Amino acid sequence: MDSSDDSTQPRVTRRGLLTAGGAAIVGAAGGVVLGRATAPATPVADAPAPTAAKPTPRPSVTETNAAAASARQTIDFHGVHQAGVDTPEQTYAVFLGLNLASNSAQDADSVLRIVSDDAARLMAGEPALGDTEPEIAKVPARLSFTIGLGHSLFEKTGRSDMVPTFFPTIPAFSTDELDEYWSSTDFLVQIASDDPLTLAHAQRMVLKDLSTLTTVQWAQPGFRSPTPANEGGRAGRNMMGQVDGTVNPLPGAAQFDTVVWSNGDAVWSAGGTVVVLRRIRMLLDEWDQMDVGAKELVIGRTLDTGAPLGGEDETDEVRFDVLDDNGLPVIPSNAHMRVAHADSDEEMILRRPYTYDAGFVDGKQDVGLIFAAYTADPQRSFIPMQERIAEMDAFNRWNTTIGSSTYFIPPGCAEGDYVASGVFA
Amino acid sequence: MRIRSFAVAGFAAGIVVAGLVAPANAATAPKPGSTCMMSGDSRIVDGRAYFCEAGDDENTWSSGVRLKSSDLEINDQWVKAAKSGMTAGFGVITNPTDKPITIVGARSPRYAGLIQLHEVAMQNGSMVMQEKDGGITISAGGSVTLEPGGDHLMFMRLKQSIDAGDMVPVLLITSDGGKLRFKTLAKVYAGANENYDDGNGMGNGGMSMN
Repeated sequence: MDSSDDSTQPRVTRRGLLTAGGAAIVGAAGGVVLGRATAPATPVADAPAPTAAKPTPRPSVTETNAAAASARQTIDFHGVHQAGVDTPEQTYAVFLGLNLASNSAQDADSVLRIVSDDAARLMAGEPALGDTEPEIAKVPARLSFTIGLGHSLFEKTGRSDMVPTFFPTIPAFSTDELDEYWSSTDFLVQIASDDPLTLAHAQRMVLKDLSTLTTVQWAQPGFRSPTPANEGGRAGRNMMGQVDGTVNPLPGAAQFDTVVWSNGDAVWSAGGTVVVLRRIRMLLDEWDQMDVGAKELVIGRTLDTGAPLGGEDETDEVRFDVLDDNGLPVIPSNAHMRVAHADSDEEMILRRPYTYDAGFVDGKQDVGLIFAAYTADPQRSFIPMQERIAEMDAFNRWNTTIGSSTYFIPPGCAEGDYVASGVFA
Repeated sequence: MRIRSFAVAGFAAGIVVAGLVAPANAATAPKPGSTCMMSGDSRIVDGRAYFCEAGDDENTWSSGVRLKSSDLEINDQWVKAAKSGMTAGFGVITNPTDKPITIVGARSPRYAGLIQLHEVAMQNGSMVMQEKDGGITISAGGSVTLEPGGDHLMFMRLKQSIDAGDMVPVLLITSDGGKLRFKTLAKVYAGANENYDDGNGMGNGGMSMN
């Protein structure tokens, strides 16, 4: 067993998770407020009998209830980093893979200028310029835009020398069954919101604005449970019922900066990150054939609480060195969480997964995960982790990665500026 | 009268483009009161602006007004991308002073041979664009929104395509010579296709709005 050097590692994770527990309490309290604020019904005791059929007045959006507050909640577009990475996961997201219609660097610059302008306005709850549905824009619901640049963009615009050294191409792994369709494009536009209509409007607005400059290669819409429904702040579940994203670094902590934000190898790239986007089809029918105990051994965590095997809570310390009565490790050597485990902050990634449901293909439902991993350098984190997974993860039998793409997410920009300004101008 | 002056514009765009573009760039001051072809045309010579004003019988050059910096402010400005012909510009113009200010001219010589100040009005049961009489006045402390379906800057006789993402420089000039310089973002937009009140039934024909 290769557990001897693992026993010292989980402490870092545990510290982060204890803080997460604190956030969970706040989340639960928020849920209570929500319930109370919306509870009081319109007093009807003294109301006269209606003389004519009148539509029941809808509750006013301006009421100071939690739902309305959430609808108005905004995230800053401008800042040191782009939004949508350290932003607590919104309920809905779409990842758009776009290609520049030309090879013109000036056109690439126009794309960045236009997306940034739309993003800054829509994220603030204001209509985009020329917004044909300005009313929808007034419900931002934590809307975020995140702009990513693909390797092909640097190449076709003659900017290959500007590709950051910490932004490698991601190799195909032995277990991958990649469909070219989902491969890397020139641009990634990641949009997320708690309101699916807001998200749809933001997507349409920006794609209309880019219609002469880019073509859409793919769109990957995804969803997750709203944060209050996450059983009091526990990491969200995926369609296999697993608690997913437990060992994430927490925004604001020094560890998060190490894991996610790059120091850059040039002024323009400092404060950026790299996203690896994997489209993972879940073989749910096969997974269904497994009993709970077997499923838990595959993952290394319990299904109900997400606790590491041998522990009781999601936040319990992971002990890879504990053996069962038969002398076998309680967390099997090929369990997913063990194989994917990071031995240092540098090896960690930020998981921000969304579930996808692509409907039915040949009568079979296509469901899975849009696995979005953010890392300051995939060479020290994602790539070695995925190599271990491809080599030995028991979980591979129930998953097939059908799409893989990667993008450099440039740092954020100041007000009046736009993302990656000057790089293609 | 606005009607006729715009009919001229419609024809001029197709027929006498070359002849009209040149004088706009010429460094000679027009003689005030002398005839000019297209209302909305302007010249800036020696720090003074001259405007081609619509008249009852003919369009004539205004006397020169000395240019100075304007107190007006503009926000949320954008222009509809267009390959050729004409297009429209929009934005919110604010007047922070305690006196009304009137915009009487607009220029973007790199992109447009001419910019007219337009309004959209109901004529014979349909919405038409026409030149706005007397310019666009912003009340003291007030603001005016230029928007599709309302007042707008009509970019005419495009010299080059205005592509999505372009930052188009524009100069607005007020009746007292105030200059407001800004850049406006070009965006793809499907609307702002109101018919022109050209008096000739030309409608939108021959004018590329794409």
